[in-house]
Amino acid sequence: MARRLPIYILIDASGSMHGKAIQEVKNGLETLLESLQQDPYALGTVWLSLISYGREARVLVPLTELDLFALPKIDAPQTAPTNLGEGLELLLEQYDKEVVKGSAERKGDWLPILVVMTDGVPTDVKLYKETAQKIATATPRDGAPSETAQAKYRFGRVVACAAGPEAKAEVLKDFADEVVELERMDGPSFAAFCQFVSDTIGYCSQAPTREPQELPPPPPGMRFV
Amino acid sequence: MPAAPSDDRLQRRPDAALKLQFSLRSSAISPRERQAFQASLDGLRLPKARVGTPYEARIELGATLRQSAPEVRDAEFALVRDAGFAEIGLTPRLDDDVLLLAGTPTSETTDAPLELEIYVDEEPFATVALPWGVRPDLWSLWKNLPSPSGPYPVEDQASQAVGVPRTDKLVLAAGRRGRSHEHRGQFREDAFAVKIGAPGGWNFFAVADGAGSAKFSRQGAKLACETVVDRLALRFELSYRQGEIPSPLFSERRRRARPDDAPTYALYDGTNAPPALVAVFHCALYETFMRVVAERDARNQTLPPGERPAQLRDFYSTLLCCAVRKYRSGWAILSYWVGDGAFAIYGPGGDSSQVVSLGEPDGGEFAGQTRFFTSKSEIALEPIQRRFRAVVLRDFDALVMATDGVADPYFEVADDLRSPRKWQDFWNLRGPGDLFDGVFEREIAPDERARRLLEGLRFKVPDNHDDRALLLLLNPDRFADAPASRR
Repeated sequence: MARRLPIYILIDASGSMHGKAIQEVKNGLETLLESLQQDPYALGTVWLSLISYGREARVLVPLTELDLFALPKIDAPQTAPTNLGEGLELLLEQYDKEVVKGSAERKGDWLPILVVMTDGVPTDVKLYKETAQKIATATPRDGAPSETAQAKYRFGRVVACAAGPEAKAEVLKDFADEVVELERMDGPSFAAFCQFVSDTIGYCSQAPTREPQELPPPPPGMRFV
Repeated sequence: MPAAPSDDRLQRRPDAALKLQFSLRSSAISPRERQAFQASLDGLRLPKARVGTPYEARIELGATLRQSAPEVRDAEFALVRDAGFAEIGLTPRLDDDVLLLAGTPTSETTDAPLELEIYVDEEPFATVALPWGVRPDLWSLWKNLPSPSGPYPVEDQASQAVGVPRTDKLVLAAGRRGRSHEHRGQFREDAFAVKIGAPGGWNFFAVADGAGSAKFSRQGAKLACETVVDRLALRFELSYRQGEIPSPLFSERRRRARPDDAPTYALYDGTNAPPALVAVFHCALYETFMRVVAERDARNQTLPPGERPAQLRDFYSTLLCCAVRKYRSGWAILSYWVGDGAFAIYGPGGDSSQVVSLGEPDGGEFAGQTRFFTSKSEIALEPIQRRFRAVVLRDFDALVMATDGVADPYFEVADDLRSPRKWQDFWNLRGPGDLFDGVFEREIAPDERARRLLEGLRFKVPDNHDDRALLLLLNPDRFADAPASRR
């Protein structure tokens, strides 16, 4: 078994995403997948998982080798809260099950990459705060080095996308080391975000331990928080 | 710059009409249930296939039907006809109520959908189009872009063959830029160095792998190798002169008196080997470390405007190095290893069923977290003692030094490096395109062997595209027959 680079993508499937918005997400992911599946380096190492959250969180696709990943149908109901806390909780369960740590018998995975998109704010605030604290990135946030030592779930990169006027980028900084703000949740904006994610993954799959400041710049029109 | 289309692409089938026609027979399936069945099939998603990669997809007809029509119990499926699959190397078949699509695709298709034509009781009922296709061969996606311009240029490949005087053994060394670096037009970061016939009859070898995340690691690896073999040579010479190289391990006089005393092999680490030997390595490693520090300082003296000052971590590299000497009654091999890769003596004492690993590869909890030579914490007595090995042995089949680009594909975990079986598999890699393809043939010149080894470093193992460096000290004739057939 080769070293894997696990990528977890969390998709907002709350009521506000119903209809066109979720379709745009699907289109964006399709393009993302298409581009990654032509990158021989990513093909050798990337494994993808897709999780949706709304009223409840669901594993749409468990961690799957990039080349065998087929995008499922993704729906958002007409009404559902934004239970991001539940989404993160399920993510961490999957992390426990799927991410391989190194041992004498087996090479460990690269530190996973987490991508979270939302167009709102977490409605399950308490659970959200709890789970967000358990997520540690390779680089400490806000110069707080002790945090990474405590947090159990280590990630190489955590990128969050706050899409549309309702989303609060500040809130997502609880767990993400990079928050990308999209002014609107429309096709072109989300496509640009997916391109950014694709670049990040492509870059990380080539050198998963590379320092974050050397990451490719985000596409124009995208604000960093 | 877009890559020129590969030959595979020319086999593209623009009119690929891929059809699977199957029939469903059942005594009691209502029109509504048929509709639901069709809708469920429509929601199925198959992974796409790839030329040259074994493929198997399962279309769960039975399970899908049971979800849509739980009441129907007597459903029978039959595969009526398929079109287009034989041409691309796939065979559809029905396994009870699962439609299987298996084989190794031989040519690409456009991303035209796969059409599932459903017949119910002999009557055409509906067609479902599933997104599908056969993608180009994985290996055809790799580009080979030239290395960039920039400080510390290195050759994309290197090889060397040199005999060790007064022994039956030959050094074969080769290093090659990995596919990943070729694809992105980046430098090779592995290095090796060989110093033969130093005063005192010692020979010195080094192999290093620059850290992928460090921007001048190619230079770190190169300096580490070149400096350490020089410094070891110097330190050994000094110690000899001062009478510091101790006799108990290597005493010629003692062996001559009692030749049977020569151990088949004996292994020491830095805690029970004579301290003077560890000290020789400590000094040489310290000097090598300081050479890298000097390089960093030199770089910062003439820093281009806007560039952040170089740090030691920019030169991070692993290091495997050793001192080897032939005595009348046997061999002494002293080694030091920090980082990952493989460093081993195969067939110690002439016993091909054994292997001695000259340390432990440093692997972290997660992949890519290895240790590097130019970490301050490594240049101290305790870590050097821990990483030091001294081996005295009557003979051996091969000394192997490899970076992880060569080791990882064949020795997936640390335990494998101590498995004689894994090592025999390693020496048996001599099919077309394999690592040792043609390397051990009888009656060829050393240079030709090194050239073939360099070519062999192109070997294709999925997911292994790192830079590769391999240094062997062996008698090729002993490997002319594969180890398994020698037994």
